[in-house]
Amino acid sequence: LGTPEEYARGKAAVFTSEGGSAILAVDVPDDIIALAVNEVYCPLSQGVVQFDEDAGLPELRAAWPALPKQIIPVGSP
Amino acid sequence: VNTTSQVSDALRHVLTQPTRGVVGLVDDLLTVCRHHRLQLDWQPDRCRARSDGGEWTELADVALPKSVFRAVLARVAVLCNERTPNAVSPYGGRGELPAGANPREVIKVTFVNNPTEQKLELTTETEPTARMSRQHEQAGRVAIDGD
Repeated sequence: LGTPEEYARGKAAVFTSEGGSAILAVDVPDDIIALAVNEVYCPLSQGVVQFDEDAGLPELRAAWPALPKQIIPVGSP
Repeated sequence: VNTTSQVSDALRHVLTQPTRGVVGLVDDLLTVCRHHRLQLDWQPDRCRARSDGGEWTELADVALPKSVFRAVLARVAVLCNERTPNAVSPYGGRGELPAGANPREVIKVTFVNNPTEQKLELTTETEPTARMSRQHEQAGRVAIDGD
């Protein structure tokens, strides 16, 4: 699905008044990731974990305050 | 001649039995669209298609989890931007994808991908020659600038 930097720039382009693009790196426990992984459609080998209400998002939301996070600014290409 | 059941079977196979995750699903979906000159209207709770302007056919039992559908839409966005940089945002837009060896044939893409709405529309079309000439000219300029 492209690089995280490309994805961040694409999202930031829609919200031009929010300070530019950045990556929020979060250390998500494996057991929560497992709830979002669908081996048929979204295998980990494709590098994407799509959380949603039906796929680990409630659990991610509950654990969110305690998860280690890092904000990584993304510059122009 | 494409029968309705051939189109339905092909689409159902692509959507329910992907072999390479969402990447393969999208590749195969575009291939089916090209082969059958399909118009596809896909939303979380409904997927319908028609071939060459014929009658719409509803595909039952092909609903994907929302997270999977969103990943499919994200892949479509990447492909649109590979063909035309910044053509669409991750949240939606309109773009075009090649529809095979004939450069005049394109798949027009319209999609929305945000937490509250998801949809994908694909339409296989043949572009007028004049418009294609302008696009090729523009593509040539980009390539030269890129060098």
